[in-house]
Amino acid sequence: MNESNYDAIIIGAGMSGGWVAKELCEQGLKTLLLERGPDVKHIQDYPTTNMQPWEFKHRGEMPYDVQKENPIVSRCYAFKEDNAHFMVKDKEHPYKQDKPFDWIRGYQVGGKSLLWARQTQRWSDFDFEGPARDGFSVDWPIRYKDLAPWYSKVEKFAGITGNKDGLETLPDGEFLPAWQLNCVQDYFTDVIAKNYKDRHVIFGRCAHLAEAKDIHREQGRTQCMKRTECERGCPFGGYFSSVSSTIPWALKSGNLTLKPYSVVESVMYDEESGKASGVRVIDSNTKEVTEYTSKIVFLNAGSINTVSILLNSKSDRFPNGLGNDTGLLGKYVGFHNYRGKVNAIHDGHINTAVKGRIPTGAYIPRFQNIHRQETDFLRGYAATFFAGRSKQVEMGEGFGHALSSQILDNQPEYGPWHVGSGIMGATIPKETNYIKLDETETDEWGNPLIRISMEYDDNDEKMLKHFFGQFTEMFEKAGFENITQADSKQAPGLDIHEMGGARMGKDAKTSVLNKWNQLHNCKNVFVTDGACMTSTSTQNPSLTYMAISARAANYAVEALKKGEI
Amino acid sequence: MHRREAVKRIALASIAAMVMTRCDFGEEEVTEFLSEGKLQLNQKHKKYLAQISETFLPIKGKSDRIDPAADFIMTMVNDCKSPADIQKFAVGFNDYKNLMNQSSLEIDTDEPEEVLTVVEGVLDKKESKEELTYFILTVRELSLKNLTSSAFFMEDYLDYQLIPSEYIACYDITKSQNERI
Repeated sequence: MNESNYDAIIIGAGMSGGWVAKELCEQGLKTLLLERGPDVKHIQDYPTTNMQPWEFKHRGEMPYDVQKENPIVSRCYAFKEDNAHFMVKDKEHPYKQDKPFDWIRGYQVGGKSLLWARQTQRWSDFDFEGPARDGFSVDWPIRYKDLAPWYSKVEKFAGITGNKDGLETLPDGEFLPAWQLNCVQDYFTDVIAKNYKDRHVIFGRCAHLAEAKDIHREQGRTQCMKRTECERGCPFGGYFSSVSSTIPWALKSGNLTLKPYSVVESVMYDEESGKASGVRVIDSNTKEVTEYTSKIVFLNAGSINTVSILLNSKSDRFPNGLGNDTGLLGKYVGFHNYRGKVNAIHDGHINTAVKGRIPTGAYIPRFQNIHRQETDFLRGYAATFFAGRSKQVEMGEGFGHALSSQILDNQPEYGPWHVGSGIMGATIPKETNYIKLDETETDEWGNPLIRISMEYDDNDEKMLKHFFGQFTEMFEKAGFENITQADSKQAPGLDIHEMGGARMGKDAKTSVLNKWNQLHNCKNVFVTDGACMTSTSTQNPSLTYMAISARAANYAVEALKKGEI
Repeated sequence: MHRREAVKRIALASIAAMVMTRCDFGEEEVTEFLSEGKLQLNQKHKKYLAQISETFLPIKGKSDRIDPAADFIMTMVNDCKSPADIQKFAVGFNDYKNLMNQSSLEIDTDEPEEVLTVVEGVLDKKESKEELTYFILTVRELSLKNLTSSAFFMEDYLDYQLIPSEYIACYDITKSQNERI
């Protein structure tokens, strides 16, 4: 068995793992970054990035056989011909669903940071104080002030485009100048401002370089070209991903060793020192097992995989999984409720359209239960607001010259504005929502299959009903027509925001991680991906994972220097 | 040459001639081209499908930036339809061929009126065979998709650009009829 020694090992080269790598390497730690999938190099490994729509064999559609073999990932909106190579196929990486859960994954260097929707909002204390106020989960051990400087650090480096909106529910950040919202989004903003004191329609803050600063050019990135083909990988580095930003930055330090095709079996625990000693890795191709040792270990494999690795890291001291003295590991998992959409037609603004595209839309921050409990459900929801208008291709009627004339002899004309909002609802993490390991079946690498059980509850149903009612009313006030409500009834998972399972907390009896993201009972192990989340709130979570990762990594460096871990 | 070998060769040549003659006149059942659930048309039938597509949606000579319709239709049918739908398409294709009685598999695409009258008649009749209707509608739909997703149509009609030069949030379309949007 081979052995290698590092200062730090990071499991997972996605959104949060990339940030840990950057922070540790910048401060001189010899760091091993493990990724179970293949390497993806910025630009050279974006095979479809410059392809025109007509160059795709099936014009974007996924072949029947692929869909049939992979029904779960096929339900994801992003699983298309241009980026299917970045998404995990069900057949290759099976798991068990004790209750339906559509698990969407990206196993490669860069992980889901290549595929994300790039929406970035800070949490406020209305979010961090939620569990304590409303009596669910446990109190977060941190507050906004603890994370604010790290949000700033991440925003400046990643490049976040937005407006300073001055909202107490959604703290402002270090923004690059935002693009303008379109006429109908502006119109709706005004309607909502006139009719509701508690509601705001704002520019959707996003991890795109509306303007490239020196720090972005140093990364080799440049301004977003507004192609809106982001999921293919952006050759301009116009949006933030680990592949275009943090990982090459860490590599530049000379302190990073990146090992793709490395499936982590477990974190090793040294009974004598009472610390983790490293990780046991299986080469995904050869199945060869290698042990790597280190002073600290960061788990950033994505919420569910991180929890499963900890559960599989058994020792005499931790027979139920590393850090799992309480049996809480894998429990209190949450996600976001994305089931509801309200759509409509807007007949106004007929003389205007949008020229070009931008990679974001408008955003309506949570306005329910902010200062006090007002509804029959806990917490609340944010929402997107989309307004667009395009030239309509009439598919024509009949056959022959009459048909081709209808299409080719008339320039396509603009149709009406289509508007819509989608719910982004907080779910309440519950003990009954869990991740655990199967006791008998294993995957191709001999690791136990993961079992997942998550479901909506009465709180989610009440919230959805409220969303439909409120947004229908808001659309009516705007004079929108043909308003429709749609409940996709999709299983949890398609939101791709699974969180929790190794929650942070103040007390080792009721949580898995402390305020620095260390396992309470094994302080040289840190968890800074979505698994650490104590509650879900309504914001897109990646910005918070990145800030938490940067904060914990810097704490780890200081703690190492002081000999505390 | 041994006598037995000579007889064998004559027999093979005769069979080949028969097959070639049948191919030439398109007498095969289209379902004969089904292999492992996919439809592998011979050149004659592929050309016939191209003519059907051109009859349904005439675009000949419009642009060389439109993919050949028959190739696109067969790719989409074989790759994106279920085995049951591929079978249905093959049966419908055969029904169409028989209905049109075009054993030579040639259509004068410049004089399509007679064919289109029959096609529209099929779609109008409730009692028309499901497979035949499916074939007609699939060829029509995929011919349209081939056109409207072509470089010709997207660039010249929809003004698609992979890299937009600019973004204007509120654009007055009444003042810009001739500009690319």
